[in-house]
Amino acid sequence: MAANSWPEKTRIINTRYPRLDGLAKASGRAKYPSDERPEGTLFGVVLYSLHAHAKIKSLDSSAAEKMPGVKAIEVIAGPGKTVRYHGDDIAVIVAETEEQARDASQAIKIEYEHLPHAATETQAMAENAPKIVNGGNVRKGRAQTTGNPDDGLQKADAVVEGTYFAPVITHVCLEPHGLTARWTTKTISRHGQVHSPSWQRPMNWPSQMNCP
Amino acid sequence: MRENDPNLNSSRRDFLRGSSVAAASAVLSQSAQAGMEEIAAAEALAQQEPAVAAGTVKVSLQVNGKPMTTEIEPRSTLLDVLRHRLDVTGPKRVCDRASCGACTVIVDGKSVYSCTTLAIAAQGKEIRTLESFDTGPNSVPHAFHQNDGLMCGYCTPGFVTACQALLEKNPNPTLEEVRKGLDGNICRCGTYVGVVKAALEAAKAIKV
Repeated sequence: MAANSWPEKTRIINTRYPRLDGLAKASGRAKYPSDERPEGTLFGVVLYSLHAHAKIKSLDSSAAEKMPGVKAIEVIAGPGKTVRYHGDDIAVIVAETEEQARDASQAIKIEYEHLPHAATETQAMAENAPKIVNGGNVRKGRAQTTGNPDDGLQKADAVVEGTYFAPVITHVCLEPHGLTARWTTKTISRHGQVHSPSWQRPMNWPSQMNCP
Repeated sequence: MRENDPNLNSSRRDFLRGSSVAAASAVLSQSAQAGMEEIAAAEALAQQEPAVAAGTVKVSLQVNGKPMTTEIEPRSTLLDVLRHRLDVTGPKRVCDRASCGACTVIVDGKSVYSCTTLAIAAQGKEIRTLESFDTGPNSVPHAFHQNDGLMCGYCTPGFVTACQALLEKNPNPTLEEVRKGLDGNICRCGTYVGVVKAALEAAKAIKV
């Protein structure tokens, strides 16, 4: 692991220098937040909606709460709340093992009231589309104009018209987002996966975690 | 190429190509009705009394030359047992469904997806993760480091392991064979050029 140290010369622009953490990562020794297992780590499973649009009529988690290893159940979309897509969050189940949490998530009983759904952008933007999002399915765009496009198009020798769509773009990094924290009475140490240390400033932290 | 099923000789991608065609035609022919039935079945399942599949068994696994014993549920995957129970965190859990290769380990000399291998089925076999690999100048991890075959590094354990398994079987791979050998792994940072270079350089270096 000798390469895992600060370079002797700090003028490294225009020189090739192997990644400082390269060998640690390439040998499985680098610890990511998801590799940390503080004593007593619990596992969470999210229960997702089976429906594209539905109102939760009732939710009964009493049986799930009594299941082996279950420590807590936090309901996100309880009775009266609406789920707006297949996979919308309904509840988080926390247990001693992931298997136990998964079993308990299946033991939560939900009655849905099915609502008309829109599964594609075209459906959601249609004139009589079901109202999926409060305030309307379509948000005001943030178009920016520089110069005078109308004028330019009028003067152009040829005009090509088309409709263009841009899909949602996400980089789909393989590492799950998250951080692991160790909390003692005096200190919180945390192992995050962000690349900017400023995000890790501890002064912001107690308020984020809603603790004194 | 992964060999979870010893009878499966085609590459994982070929297999997926075939099965995705079958899945697509099933979707087209059965229309939305099948989807609704599936949802109804899932709802019916949710209404049943909770099925407790919990219950543990003792397993002994030979990991990186060391015998390790722990209590697990029979349904636990080798990956989850390595990571959650045995603190062997080199193999990563990403897709958890045999698509990305980040969980690759070597079992009895073959690279397998540990996320779709049951831990109980790995008893009595020799399990190797990349933590056990040599990291010296003539090693696969070293070649990945020197050729910058990684960026965020989360897929890297899988690539390094698949590469190690490939070179143990075929010490002189061609470029095509390297590509085939690593085709069960995905890198979202796009370090493939460095990965392939690392594999070819490692092959040369290991012979030295």
